Amino acid sequence: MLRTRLSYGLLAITLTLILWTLGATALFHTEDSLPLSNHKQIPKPINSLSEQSADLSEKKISSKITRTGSNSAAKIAGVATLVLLGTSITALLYRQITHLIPALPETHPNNELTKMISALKQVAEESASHCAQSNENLRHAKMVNRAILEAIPSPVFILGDDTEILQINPAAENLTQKLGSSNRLPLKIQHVLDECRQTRTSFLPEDPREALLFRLDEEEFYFLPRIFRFATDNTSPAGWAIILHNVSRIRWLDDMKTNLISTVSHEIKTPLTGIRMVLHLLLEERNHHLDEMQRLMVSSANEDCERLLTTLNTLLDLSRAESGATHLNRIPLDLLKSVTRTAQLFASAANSRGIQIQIETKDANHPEISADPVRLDEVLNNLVSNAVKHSPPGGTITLRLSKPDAEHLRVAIIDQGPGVPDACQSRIFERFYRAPGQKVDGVGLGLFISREIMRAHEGRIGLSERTQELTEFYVDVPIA
Amino acid sequence: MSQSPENHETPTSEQLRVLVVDDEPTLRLGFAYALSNRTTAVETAATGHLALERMAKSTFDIMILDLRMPEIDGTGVIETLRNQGNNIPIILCSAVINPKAAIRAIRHGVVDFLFKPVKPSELREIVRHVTQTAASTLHSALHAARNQNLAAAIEILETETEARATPDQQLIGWLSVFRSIRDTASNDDHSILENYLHTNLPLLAFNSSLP
Repeated sequence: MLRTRLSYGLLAITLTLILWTLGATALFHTEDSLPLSNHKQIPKPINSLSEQSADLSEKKISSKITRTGSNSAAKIAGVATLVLLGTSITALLYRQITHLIPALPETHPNNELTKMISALKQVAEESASHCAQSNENLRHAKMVNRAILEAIPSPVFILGDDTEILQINPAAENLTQKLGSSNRLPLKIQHVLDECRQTRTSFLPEDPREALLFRLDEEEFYFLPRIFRFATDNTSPAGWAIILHNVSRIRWLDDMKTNLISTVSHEIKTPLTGIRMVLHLLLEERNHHLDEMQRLMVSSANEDCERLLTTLNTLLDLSRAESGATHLNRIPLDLLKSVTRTAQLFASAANSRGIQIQIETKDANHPEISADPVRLDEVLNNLVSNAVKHSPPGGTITLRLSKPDAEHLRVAIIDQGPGVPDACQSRIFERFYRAPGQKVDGVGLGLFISREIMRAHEGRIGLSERTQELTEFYVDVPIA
Repeated sequence: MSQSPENHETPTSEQLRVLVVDDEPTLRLGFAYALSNRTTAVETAATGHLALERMAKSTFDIMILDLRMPEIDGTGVIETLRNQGNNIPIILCSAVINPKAAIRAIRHGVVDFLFKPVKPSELREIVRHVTQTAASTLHSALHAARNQNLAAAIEILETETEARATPDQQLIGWLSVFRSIRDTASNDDHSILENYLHTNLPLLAFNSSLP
């Protein structure tokens, strides 16, 4: 009620004021133009210009006002009309308002003003308290957010879409300080983030082996970076959040497990080799012959012994795969030399089955790759050994060098064997996986170890789609 | 078993005298039994200390040495003997031969590696291989290396690998190992060679696992 009345009052006052102002402006122009017109030396255009502006003011106020000419008398009349009109409109409006609002009591003008002022004060107070309330809410929300961010024990970085750091929590401050790059994103993380920005995808690895190594105060820490994009709403620009999850403990436990497997296997293996030696000696029957029953028992014990050794070797291979691929000794290499070495290694095994190994390369001037020669050989040997195993007698194995993109060189290992059944294609790189119906030799760790090695190289390994009855595995190695 | 290999019989002058050093009793027994015959006399020692004591008292033609032993390990025995000027041929026999130990061994003229588990036949073969005169190129190259003549070993292998169209992997392997050792001082960084041996030592060993 009060507000409606007040707004009408305000409207009337404002309107009156506007009209008065306009009238006054017009009057001023008129007063200015009067003395000017008496000076003959002043060129005409200026004079007419002020006249024009006066005209314009009039036109703006009301098109109804008729102009009798450009003399000042007419202008004064116009201004008077305007002021009158303003006052009458105000009066009319006020009358209208009092009619419209019957509740509005007839009051003394003085009393009216005091009421208006107190009403205004009240409104101001109300809006101030409202404002303070929402400010308080905002501040509280901000404080809660800040407190949560500060309480998160993992380093957290909040970045704008342009990767400028917007917020950083104490854990992150601490980390960057220890790394000697205060409040800046560590370089290793920056690389991962750059890739995320390029592909516009999050990076949320689960495997602790994808953690990045940081050396802080002579101690090794593994942090698993979790990088994701966020958008507050559709209009404002998105940002990136990075949480570094400390997985050092998990890594340590994993290493412990690997070491334990390795130690226990070796401890069992040592006495087992003695037992095996003795069983073999007995079975040789050099000085004494065994009777049938004795021979049967010793043979059976010997078979058990061999089986136990195979199991132990499997466990050792596994622990080697899990620990070995992390320590690489990368140097610039000629990939063709590695491929040639592998081809030579398997030449005799292939020849014995009438299989030929040929090397194909389109461009003799390949750039050098960056790899650990020993580990890369291990991968190539594994793939070529598989190709020899699965090639039909008299077949050909092709080792083809190419450059699939700007950052990698590729070796494709192509054989004419029956290929990998569709159903197992997604699983062949898993540990201990053996395609059904395959003859048992090895334990199914070759491709798993190869993939671990290529992963450590930041390279790729995979199976291409089968074409023209050819099976093609490929290895992509980063260029130096 | 009429003869107990742990009793050391007085050997005749024509007999080949072998010292087996291993902390595993069953293996000492087995090795001694496998090797003992009319032409070979075997003695055993359970630790590196005992081996060095035995070496000081009498002479042997060949030693079969375990790597992992308490107190003085295989590498320690090799280095002590070589420092004493004793150049006895040594076969390093262990389940695990780490690359660092292998490099130190090769520097001291120990190039015969045998991975456990060992079959009796392999044991007899390697003893014959080390003690008999060279029958193949690799054989004579290793013989030169045993006498700590790396230059001669490299020359023999280089001539052979150049002559052959597809040289055998063992020849290439030994050649690169010998070259690498020749080109690096003993206290230099051997990480590349270590990495190489980590994978390839089983291929270079006597009971190698070549495809």
